[in-house]
Amino acid sequence: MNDNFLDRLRAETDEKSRELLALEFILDTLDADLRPAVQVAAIPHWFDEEFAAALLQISIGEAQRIVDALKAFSFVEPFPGRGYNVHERTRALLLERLWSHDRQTYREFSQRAERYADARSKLAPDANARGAATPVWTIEAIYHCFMVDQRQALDRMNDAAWDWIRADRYDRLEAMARVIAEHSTAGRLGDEARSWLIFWQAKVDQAYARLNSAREKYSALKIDANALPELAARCMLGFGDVLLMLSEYEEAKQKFDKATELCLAADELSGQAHAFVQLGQIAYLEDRAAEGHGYYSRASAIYKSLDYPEGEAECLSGIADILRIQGDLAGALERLLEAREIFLKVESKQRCATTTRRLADVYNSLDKYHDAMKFYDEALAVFEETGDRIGQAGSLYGLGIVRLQRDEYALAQELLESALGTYRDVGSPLGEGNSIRALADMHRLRGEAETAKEAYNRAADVYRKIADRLSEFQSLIGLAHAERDLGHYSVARSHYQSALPVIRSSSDKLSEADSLSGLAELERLEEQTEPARRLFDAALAIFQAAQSRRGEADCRRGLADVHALLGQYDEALREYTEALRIAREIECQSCAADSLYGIGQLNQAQNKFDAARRHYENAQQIYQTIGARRGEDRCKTALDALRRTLT
Amino acid sequence: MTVMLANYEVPREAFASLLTGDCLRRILLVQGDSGTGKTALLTYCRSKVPDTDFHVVLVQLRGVMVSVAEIFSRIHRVLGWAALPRLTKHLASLEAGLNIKIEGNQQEGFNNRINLVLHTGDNKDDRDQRRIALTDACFEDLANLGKRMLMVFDTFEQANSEVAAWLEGPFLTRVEQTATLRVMIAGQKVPNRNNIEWGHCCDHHDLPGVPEAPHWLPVLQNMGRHVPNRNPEDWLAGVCAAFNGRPDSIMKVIEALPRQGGAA
Repeated sequence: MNDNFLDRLRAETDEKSRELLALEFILDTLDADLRPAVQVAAIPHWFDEEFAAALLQISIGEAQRIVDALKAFSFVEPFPGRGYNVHERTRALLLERLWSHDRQTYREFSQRAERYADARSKLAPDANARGAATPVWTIEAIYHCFMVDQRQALDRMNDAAWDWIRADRYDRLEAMARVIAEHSTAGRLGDEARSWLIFWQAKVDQAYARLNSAREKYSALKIDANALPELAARCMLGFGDVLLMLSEYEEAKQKFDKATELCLAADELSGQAHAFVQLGQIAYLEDRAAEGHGYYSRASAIYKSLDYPEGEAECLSGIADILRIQGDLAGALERLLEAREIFLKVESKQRCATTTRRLADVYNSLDKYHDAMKFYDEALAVFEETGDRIGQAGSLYGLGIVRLQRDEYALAQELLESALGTYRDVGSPLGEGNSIRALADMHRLRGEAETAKEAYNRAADVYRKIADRLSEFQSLIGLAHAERDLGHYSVARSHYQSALPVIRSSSDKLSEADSLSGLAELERLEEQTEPARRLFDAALAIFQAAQSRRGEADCRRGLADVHALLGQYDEALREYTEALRIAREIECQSCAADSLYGIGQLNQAQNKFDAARRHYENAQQIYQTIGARRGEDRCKTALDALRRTLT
Repeated sequence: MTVMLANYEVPREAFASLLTGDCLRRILLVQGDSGTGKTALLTYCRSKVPDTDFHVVLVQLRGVMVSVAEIFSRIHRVLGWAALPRLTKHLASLEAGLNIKIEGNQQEGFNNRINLVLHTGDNKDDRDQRRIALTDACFEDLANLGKRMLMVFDTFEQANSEVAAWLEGPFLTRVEQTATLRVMIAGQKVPNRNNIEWGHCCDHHDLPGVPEAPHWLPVLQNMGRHVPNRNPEDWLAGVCAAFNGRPDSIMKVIEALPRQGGAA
């Protein structure tokens, strides 16, 4: 017999047939009553004597004897807290065998398992309560229901899934999708159920920022919109959401355009409004402000008709983004505070966190760093709680920018590198490019112009790959600043001149002001005082309109430098003093140090050597504290020169 | 229970090192396909741990119910309140902060309390901060245990995303800093050993299966089975080759063999 077994084993050509043979080999040795018990034990994910008694419709005592016999086998393992289970590979084989040979029996035992699991689920206090553990019996019942009545099971699965999404419990959705996927892998699900399952799996991937995996799932889904209009619309929206998160705007736009049609056909008004919101965001990201405003208004009207304030709040946030980039920070702030109030009222934690982060962005642009940090921290805490990695990366990035503005370079680097790592992990090239560009800014401000150049170029490469022209040219401005710092004036000028027309044609007023002040500084360094003054004035007007205090301080300091060059010391002192006042108000140390250095130079030019020394020393101390080597060297050189003059 | 385990000497030795007092690699990762004997290896290893020297917590991540709260609960079940003063205090203060009231029998057990603390409220005192606070408190307690502690996690690939991220991040990072703790994690997938924070403190082993028949002879003997064939080792070698050394399949065949001096 054993030789015969080995011969048969060798004759089998594939692994599964050999596994089945081994299974038959052991089943053949079992007593008549134990053999079906092994098969039945494979139906649930775990069993104990109670579950076995319910499945086999025998007494608990009898079931106990069978469980004792089963647990002696190597393919039966303890299942902590629940009893025992058949090892996954053996279980899959047994189920496949039963599905192929005796589907009716499979269905009968599944029905018994479903009833038992349902009864057990009702014993739990409230499976959907926030503090309750994963509703394992509910999930187990739905799993078995699929082998009894797929239509009913599908409804149960979808109802549970929507409930858990609404309650922000993706852990439960993940648990359910994982067990039901066993049926799908084994080919036991119909097309509709399989498609819905893939949709839920994609939703879970999306929730845990496995964007490429979510994308693959949505791509694989081929849904007949006539037969399954709701699922077709939902998938198209989900696919668009993922593509948007992956910064693939053109493809995302196509999906949302299609989704609006599908939602209309499926009478899914809220889905249609969501598509408009996303189209508004794409328009904003692609710098089509008016179009973006239009989409948000359409979405807002639908949400209003549905009496859905969260939706209206979402639109307010979107419009705020557009206003912010247009330099209307007060308008943006007003709308975001209104949106946040709504989200707080309806306890929509995730959306409230997203709005909070946007609010922090505006405070950052207004140079209100303490408020910005408070709101970034608040948003980050929620994103960490909900596992939203893109939200986390956005908050870390924002915090990094604040630290950068406050000249806390080491902290900025740590935060920005952390954001960069997360953006790379989740596959968000826009976030990756922005983080690299911010790190380049950090290197430049620290006086590491060569490293900064290399990073600006890397950021530009990333932006080119996703065809984000505006961001690419923003990197070019950074590169121009770095070249200017290195004394490569003609290269810097050429970069500024290439970037300015593109930046000017966009709605990004702050970048335009940044370019103008950069070019103004270049003119000043080349002692072209009139163009320098004109450019600083133009930049100053934009910064003032946008309420950017940091930008205003930089421009006033630049104008003071120009006045000083022209020997207009009173005007220069007035501008330096104003720049210093603003710098202290917004706690911008590098701005303060730059102004102090300028005042030192002014004093030196007027032979007020003691005052000059004091200002240089104060500036040097600040540069030293923040680690700005270039500034520090500049002060050292000035102080040395002053000493030589005095001796 | 006698554990039937063929070979796997290298990971067994790595586990023996894990139990030594001066062990620097306090995290042992064991990776292998389904059916390669990971659970058998873990069970064997567990049987070798002297209870006098170690507290042992076993966590099977298979199934759908293991959450971070459940892991805290298992630790509590093994150690009890007295050994976890900081965790107890933090839990109580978080409950008070969240205004969670203990009424009648609804608040039964530690697992429920932890679950409530980790899932209630939506403001600043968020789930994750609370999870981190409880993790910190728990590790402070573990660092002060009178004896060492071994935590064993099986089927890591089946952990839900939240638990996997917690284990791979905050948990293992703190293990690296806690001299009293040893951790063994097995699965078809295991945490990424290239982790910058704890990777240097881990040992990783692949389980390729046991294709050599001589390694199975002692198992055959311990199980009281015999091969009714003139050359048992050759016969067993044929079985091992057919299953590419996969222990679960080979064990099924051995279990179906007749008992020495009797039927199967």
